Amino acid sequence: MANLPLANLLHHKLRSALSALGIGIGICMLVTLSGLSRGSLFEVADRAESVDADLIVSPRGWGNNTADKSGSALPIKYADVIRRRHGDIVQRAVPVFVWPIRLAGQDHRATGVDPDDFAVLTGGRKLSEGRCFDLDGRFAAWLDSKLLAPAATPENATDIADQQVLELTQADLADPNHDGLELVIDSRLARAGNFHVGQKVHASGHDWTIVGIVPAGVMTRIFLPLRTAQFLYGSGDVTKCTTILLKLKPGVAIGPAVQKIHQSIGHDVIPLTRYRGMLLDKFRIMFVYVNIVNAIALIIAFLFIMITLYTMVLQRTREIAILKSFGASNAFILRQVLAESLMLTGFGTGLGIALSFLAAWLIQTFKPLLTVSITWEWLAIAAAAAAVGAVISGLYPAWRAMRVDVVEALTLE
Amino acid sequence: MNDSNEILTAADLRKSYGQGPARVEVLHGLSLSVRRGEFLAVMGPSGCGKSTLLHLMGLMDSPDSGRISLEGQLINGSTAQRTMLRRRSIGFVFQRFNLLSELSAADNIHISLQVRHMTDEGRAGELFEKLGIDHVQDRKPMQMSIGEQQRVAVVRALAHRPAVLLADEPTGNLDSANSELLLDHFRDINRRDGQTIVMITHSAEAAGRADRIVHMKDGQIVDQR
Repeated sequence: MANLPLANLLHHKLRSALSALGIGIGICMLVTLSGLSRGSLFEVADRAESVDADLIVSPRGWGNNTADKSGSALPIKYADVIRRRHGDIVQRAVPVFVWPIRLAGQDHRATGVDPDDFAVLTGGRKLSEGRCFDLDGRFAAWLDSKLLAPAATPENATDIADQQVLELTQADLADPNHDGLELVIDSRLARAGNFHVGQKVHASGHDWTIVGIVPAGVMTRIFLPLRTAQFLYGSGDVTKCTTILLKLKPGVAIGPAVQKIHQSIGHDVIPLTRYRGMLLDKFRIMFVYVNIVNAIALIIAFLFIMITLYTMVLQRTREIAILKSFGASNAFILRQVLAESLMLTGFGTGLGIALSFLAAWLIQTFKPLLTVSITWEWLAIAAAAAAVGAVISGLYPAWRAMRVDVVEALTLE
Repeated sequence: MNDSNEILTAADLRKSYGQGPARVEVLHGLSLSVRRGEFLAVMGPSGCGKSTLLHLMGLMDSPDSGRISLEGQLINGSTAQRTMLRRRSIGFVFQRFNLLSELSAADNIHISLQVRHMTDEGRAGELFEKLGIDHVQDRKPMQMSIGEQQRVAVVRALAHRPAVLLADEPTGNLDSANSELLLDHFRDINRRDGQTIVMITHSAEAAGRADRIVHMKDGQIVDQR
């Protein structure tokens, strides 16, 4: 069976290759940008959901903003209040202090947590290298001793300017009674920054020692002692945290527990399973932006096809007239042009998908902190968009082809 | 139309091109009948309307007035009817062969059958062999000689067993040896298979192979022998 559309494409190899490349770039942009935006966001959500907890307690009114809030916000005493009032349903209450710390050229949500609660945040994952920070609590104890030391403030001081402010100096951090500022990071951050256990790093205005590396997939990429985070980034106020994570006892229903605890303490209580939705809400505009960019890329790619097919029709008026001289119907001509468009798009889509995997590999190799998630769903969406685009962009050239006047075209030979 | 032996008839055909003052009438009430199994040559000077006549008889164009009937069926002017009859009953050989350059010789035949909703039942192979071009089936037009290309065009025009083969100066681009060969084949196909052929030519030698020669001048038939 003669396959004229395929023969045409193979006859004009360079033109076909360039057209397929144009479509391929559009498809690659669609798959890669979607994969990058969703992949990176869902990776954050996956990490949040990996925490061995059920609920998040956040200050009243934070609601969906809880996903990206940080700093001092919630009195830490609520952890004790919840343990005391709801010990029948709550197994564990873990206060955390979240603050952005810049490492390897990127800001990360670092989480301050008590070393005893560290396993809750890692979902039980063991450290792959090194140890947890401040295991013996020496730094926290040292810091507490500093904070609780008799004030040097004059007794008659009434102005805030007269209050003593505790500041850490290099000499303080070199005190042999503690091990200084310590961090645990995840393996992706370690790979991105070429960090290793024992390495000293300067981040957010302080010098830190990386003491442990935890496998990727845990709640945040950086962990530090709760007390350190509170002191350094909570303006010295060690009585507040950002949120409190709650682990419910086995068999306790989440909905009623949320109601009960919320009524008891008056702050927002959110199921951890809503974290993904909160993130999506937060970044909805980013998806709109990405989708617009994708749509523009696809439109440009298909204008490319339309121009290619239109040029092809103009150049091959005589061939079309020959087909019509055999008695080719308009439907036959339409099928030939659309088949050529669909084949070109098929090649382009295949190329685009291959380019997407290459782009994903390059992005994740050179930017290890980014996640590109290429899913069957998005590949199917890209292929469907390409097929629709191929038909639409082939219609006008096909219409022109159908209007070719046989006698005129053959007489002009 | 009265004679059941007439396969293609044109009666009082008029055809003009252009509009307003630029309008030129090419055929002025021309009538012509072709008998079944006849090899007819149409001769005449350039611009006398030979090709226009062939296009009208080949149902690729419609006349301003007049009647055409093919195999006893009056052409009513509808595009669908002309397309259907062109597909089924007409084979066309062009001066420049008009093979599709992207396809091999065999695929050129197959695409014409595809258009006609027909399958090759060995007829194309027979014709390739009969015309001595069996060896070019897998070659593309650029890989064939001029004579081979024209013979492939003849195979394509005959593969669907048309009622009438219309040839528009088929030897116009051929050297004398290839012209001789092609005309021999035309004569042979006409004699052995009873194929009706209408051939336009400038060459008296080519026309000499036909059963009947019609001379045209200024859009009218001026002589026939």
